[in-house]
Amino acid sequence: MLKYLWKISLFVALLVLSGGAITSEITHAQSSPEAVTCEQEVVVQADDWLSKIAEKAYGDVLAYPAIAEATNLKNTEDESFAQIENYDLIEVGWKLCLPSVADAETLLDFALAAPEVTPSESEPVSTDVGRLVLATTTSTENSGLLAAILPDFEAKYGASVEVIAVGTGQAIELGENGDADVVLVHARDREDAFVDAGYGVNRQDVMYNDFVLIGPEADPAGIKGMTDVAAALTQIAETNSLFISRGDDSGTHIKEQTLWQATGLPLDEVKDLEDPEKITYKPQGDWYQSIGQGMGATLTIANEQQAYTLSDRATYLARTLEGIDLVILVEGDSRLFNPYGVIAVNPELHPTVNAEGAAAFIDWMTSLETQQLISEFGVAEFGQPLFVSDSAAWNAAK
Amino acid sequence: MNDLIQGIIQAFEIILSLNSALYEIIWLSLAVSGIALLFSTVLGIPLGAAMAMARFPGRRLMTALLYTGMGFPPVVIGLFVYLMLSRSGPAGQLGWLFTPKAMIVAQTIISFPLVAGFTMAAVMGVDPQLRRQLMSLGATPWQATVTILLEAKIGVIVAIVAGFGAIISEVGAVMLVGGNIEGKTRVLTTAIVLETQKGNFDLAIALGLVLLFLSFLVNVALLRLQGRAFS
Repeated sequence: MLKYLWKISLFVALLVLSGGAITSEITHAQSSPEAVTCEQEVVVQADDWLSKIAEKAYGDVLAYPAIAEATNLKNTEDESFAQIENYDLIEVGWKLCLPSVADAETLLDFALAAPEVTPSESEPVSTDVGRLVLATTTSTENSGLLAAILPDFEAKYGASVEVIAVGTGQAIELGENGDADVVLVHARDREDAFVDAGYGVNRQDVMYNDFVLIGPEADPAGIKGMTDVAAALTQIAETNSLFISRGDDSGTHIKEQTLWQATGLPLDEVKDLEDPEKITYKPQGDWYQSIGQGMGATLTIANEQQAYTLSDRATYLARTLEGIDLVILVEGDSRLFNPYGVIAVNPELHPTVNAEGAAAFIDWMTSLETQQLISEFGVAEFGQPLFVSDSAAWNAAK
Repeated sequence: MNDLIQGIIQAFEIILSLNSALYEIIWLSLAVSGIALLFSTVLGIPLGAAMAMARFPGRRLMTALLYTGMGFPPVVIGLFVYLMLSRSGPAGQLGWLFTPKAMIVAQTIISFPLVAGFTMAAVMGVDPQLRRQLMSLGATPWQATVTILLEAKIGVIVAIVAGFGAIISEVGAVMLVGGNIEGKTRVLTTAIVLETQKGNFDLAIALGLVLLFLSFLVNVALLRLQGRAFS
């Protein structure tokens, strides 16, 4: 009981710590000019955050590292300026240096969205788009991403978005039946089939999240830092290290099977008792345990047994807040990516859909500003983003 | 409805297919619940009999606790056993979590109050004069107790049947402490949950029928023990 009270208070403390602040782990300035001139000097007041001051001065919460860098640079020549070691921690009475916009941009190495430009850029639609039905997967809803970014769309376009969060298959079906105006899903093959069959138009890449191979810190298979996920799995198999599989025919389980197939190891082919066409692949040996449960239970069991497992990053990160001590060992292999696409439902097939709204949504979703929001989502809470922006515009700007 | 009929047909096909994975699951279900029932019988019948016959301070409180235990949610017991056996729990060194041992522990705790409680009720229903009469005829306290238990045989067997019914059909606790690991801790109830979640209703129904049938067989066997009482 005590243990749980402790956990709950830890969780609350983490929330308090992370609320409002953005952890310092996101990109600090790459280039540091020799000297900096302060356009403005600000003394920290109660309830000030660097990001809050940045928002006031530059109209961009993400400009806060520029203030910190400039202040630290000033501190070397004038000690009345504060020395900021942790960007999340500033104290009342500290003197900060706010550089000019141009200097800030140099410090940050990215362009600031100046507040006076924003409104004209972001209102390309003259009329309100109204009610828009978005069919999407549970991951975008459950991770809190949509709740974080949709208010921006609704404000800019006068829209009210109704989110229907279901499995990818069902989301696509809603689009096929014209029950949704726009779909946001992650199953490339089915997305393409959806467009090829004429149900959808204007498919755009939006973002991806990824799977990570996690395991005990001791890492008995010695896979830490490997970039080839198939090679890492082979090593787990060869060292007979315990591996927990979801084994529940979920997207993660299907992904895991394709990764095992990529290893070239001999696999058992288990025919489904009900549907002999369907085959489950699994490696041979007692070290491989299939538990047939959801991601949460799988992480709990892997943590208890100090075993390896495959998890989506968001669920893993969320569980680290509750004290699982497994660590990410392999990440970044393109085979671990899980790309999301946004598709408008074809208005020629279903004249009743909100085509204008869907087009606006796709423009907005792939715009630089929204992509920036996506790339920031989760950073405050977990120290790393949950989704990686991937729209054509974003990649071009990079 | 179609699902159900199709499920029943397929159930027999699957059962007759002698699929080894299925028989492993059936065998484990029976083994885990059987051993747990054995433990709870060995513990529960003496305790129930003692509480019915002996007079000691705190008996009323103990009775209340026992009755509470009879209605205790199995999943809460599962949670308790999980926390005890967890790596960070007091009995973590045993390494029992996610093994059949953990499932037996949980099921013993679930079924033992049922066995003890029903035994107590059955023994209390025996004429209190009987014990005095037996003692006056020269029986030792042990002999008297055994005779009274035999007299209460029907009730005691009901106690065992109730204990078995509670654990063979239980899913929450064994899922928590067993982990539903294929070929290791997967039993009929957790397999039913899994197949239902996968949308394999036919297979889920088949497993459900197997469970019903097993339960029926075990109860028939126990009733045969009761045998003469019905004639």
